[in-house]
Amino acid sequence: MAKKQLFGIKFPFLVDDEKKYYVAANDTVSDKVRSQLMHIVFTPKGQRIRNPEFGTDLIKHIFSQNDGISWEAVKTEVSESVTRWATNITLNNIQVVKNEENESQIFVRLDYSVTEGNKTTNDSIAVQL
Amino acid sequence: MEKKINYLSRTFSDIKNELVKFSNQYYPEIADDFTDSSIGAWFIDLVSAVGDDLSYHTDRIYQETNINSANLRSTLLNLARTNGVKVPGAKCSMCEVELSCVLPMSASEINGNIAQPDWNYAPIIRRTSVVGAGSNLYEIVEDVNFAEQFNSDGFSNRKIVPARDSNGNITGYTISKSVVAVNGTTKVYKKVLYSSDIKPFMEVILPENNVVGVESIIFKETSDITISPQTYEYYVDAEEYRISTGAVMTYRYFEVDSLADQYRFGNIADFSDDFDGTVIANIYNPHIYEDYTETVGGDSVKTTRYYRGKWKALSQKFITEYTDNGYLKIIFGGSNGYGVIPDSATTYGDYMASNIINNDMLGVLPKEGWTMYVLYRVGGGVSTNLGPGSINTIVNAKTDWGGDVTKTNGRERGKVIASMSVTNLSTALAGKDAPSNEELKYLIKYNTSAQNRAVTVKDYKVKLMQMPAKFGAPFRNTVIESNNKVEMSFLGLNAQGQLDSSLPQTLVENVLEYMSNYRQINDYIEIKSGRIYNIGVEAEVFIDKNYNTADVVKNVINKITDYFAVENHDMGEDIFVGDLEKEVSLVDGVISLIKLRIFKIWNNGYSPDKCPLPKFIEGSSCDSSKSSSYSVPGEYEEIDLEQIDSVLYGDYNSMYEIKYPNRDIQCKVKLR
Repeated sequence: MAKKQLFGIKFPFLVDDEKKYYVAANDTVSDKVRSQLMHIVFTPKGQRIRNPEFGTDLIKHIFSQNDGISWEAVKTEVSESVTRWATNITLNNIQVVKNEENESQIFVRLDYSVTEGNKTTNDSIAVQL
Repeated sequence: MEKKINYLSRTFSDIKNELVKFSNQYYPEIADDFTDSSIGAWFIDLVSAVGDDLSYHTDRIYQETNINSANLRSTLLNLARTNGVKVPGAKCSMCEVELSCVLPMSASEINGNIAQPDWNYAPIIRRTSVVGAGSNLYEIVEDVNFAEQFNSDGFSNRKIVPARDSNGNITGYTISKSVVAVNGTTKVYKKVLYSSDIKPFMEVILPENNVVGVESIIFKETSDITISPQTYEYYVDAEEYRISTGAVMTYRYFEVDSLADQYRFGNIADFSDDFDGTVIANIYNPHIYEDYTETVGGDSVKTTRYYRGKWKALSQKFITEYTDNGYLKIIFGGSNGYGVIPDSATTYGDYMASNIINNDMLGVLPKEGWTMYVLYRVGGGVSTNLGPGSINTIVNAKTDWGGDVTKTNGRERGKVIASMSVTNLSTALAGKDAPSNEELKYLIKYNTSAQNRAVTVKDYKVKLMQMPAKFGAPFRNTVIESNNKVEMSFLGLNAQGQLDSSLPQTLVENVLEYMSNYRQINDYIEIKSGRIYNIGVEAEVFIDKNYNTADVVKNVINKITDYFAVENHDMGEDIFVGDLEKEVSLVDGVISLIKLRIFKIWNNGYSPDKCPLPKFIEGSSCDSSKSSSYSVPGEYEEIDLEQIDSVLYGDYNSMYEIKYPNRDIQCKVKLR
């Protein structure tokens, strides 16, 4: 039986009991892209060894007002980082909204498209910050 | 294909590339993407960084094992220690200074002669007195006793010039003595030793980082010291002594190159004033010496002083070394002393074992309750080098009186002190910063530790030159092997700067004693006087009549005097007459050198040694000799220069000397 193609390690890390993998792998390209995006968004700049520019500097907004000004800054930060580090992704739109249940949190939604050959797939993820 | 990572990949990017290539090649079904945003790349980055760090540290540690690539100061100091190099610190500049004072005349005339300086007023300026040039301070390195003709090395260093009033009458005498002054200041580090301090190879780090060296370390046998030791107490050449009857015992420790050194060559100290042999006889000059005199103009003049030296067993010793951050560390010996019964010894076997372990070969430790005084110097560096005449201030003179103070009065003594002045005759040189890491590398690489033994005759000559000057320093020496003996020949200088072949007994004994520690067991040393071959010169020259003839003759004589000056030659050296002819020809006003004749002279006030070079026999070589009118009081013969190719060949143990240049060099002049 041919081996199933996997697409790298899933982010965040999970143990895949079913396949008996120490870390779960991405089963599809869209899973891989999602992992990449979350990896970029959730890695603070300076944390990645030998690559201090990798990631986002969202941590600096932790004490900012949860208002439009901060949301714009978050959008810019995420947009620049994704454009720089995920070159296989086209970022179509970023939306930032307040979490109505918790005033100190926001949701960020990224609409993006991935082109493979002549096939373009649109997708989106939402992360809570 | 073997699954492995290329071991030549040692940097972060190389290792990462290898791992990515490896993953792509062998695990394409798991991961297909290693761009920075992928999680796999993050893992590979981690592993690559660990590999890179390990490579870096491996390189760094290896680099520090090799002298060419080592960078850490501590590594270089360790390498130096392993290679037997004693790393120096900063070096102080040094120069010769002249200290002067005006002494009054003595009250009475002696034997109808004019009154002499009143030596009762002669001051002693103590070692460590400070002279200065602005902020640069220099300490004199030995006591300057204006009543003495000599310094402590036995060299004559005093001159006396009459001081006159406006009518030309002598009102006193300006006495000048030269002495070496060294940049820096002397400090004392005091510490009472407690039981917790005493441990094998006890270390003491001096609390300053510009220490240039330790001068001396003494211990007082008590912790209850209220008066600091006087400077002279640090320089008594004995391991145990008292400065007066009933005084606390002082223990001096000596610096050695290695704690394994068992002997030191030192003065014999004079303890003749005491019953138990520990009280020094003369606190200011406690060493045994002998003065030698010569008769100059009918008067007996003390010309040389030799201190008696001998090898002494040494157990109180220490070594010093610099830490990697520039502090000076003193390291004492490893035992409590041979024969000390340890408290824990309960059986005879314990006692004997303890004796074996506690022997004093590597030095003994001081004892609990003693007070340690370390006399050390700070200063040095390149900035302390100065031109002559720069030192002109006496900053701190520790003054004493060398004569009978009861025959003096305070007002006159005050005038003597007020008249003291100083200047440096020579450039203050040799100041140097501590060696840099690069210098240290060269020091280690090109230092072959000298072996402390005399095997070849050259070794004997080197060791002889290393003998401290105060025990005798022959002006010239030569060492040869003759009939299975090591034959040393010495020549000295007398008060007029002429060669002297007399051999003072103390010098001979000191040399034999000094060499006994280095010579091979079956070597026999014989010490002889060197031979002095007195010669004379007759120069026949054409002189330009437009020049002052007397001046040209004087210049020719000076040129010949300089050429043969004993300071410029060594024993056994050949002297080329051709070079001298060339130099005389070049004297301003000399048109041509017609003939240069050399005469051997002996007896009647000259050396009794007759030069063995062939005598000129008239008609044998050159007829021009017929015109010679050379004449001196001694017996003389012309040397046949043609037969010896115009070279005055030197015997291994002889030197050529023009004893009386004004008489022995004669000039015949033709004007043109």
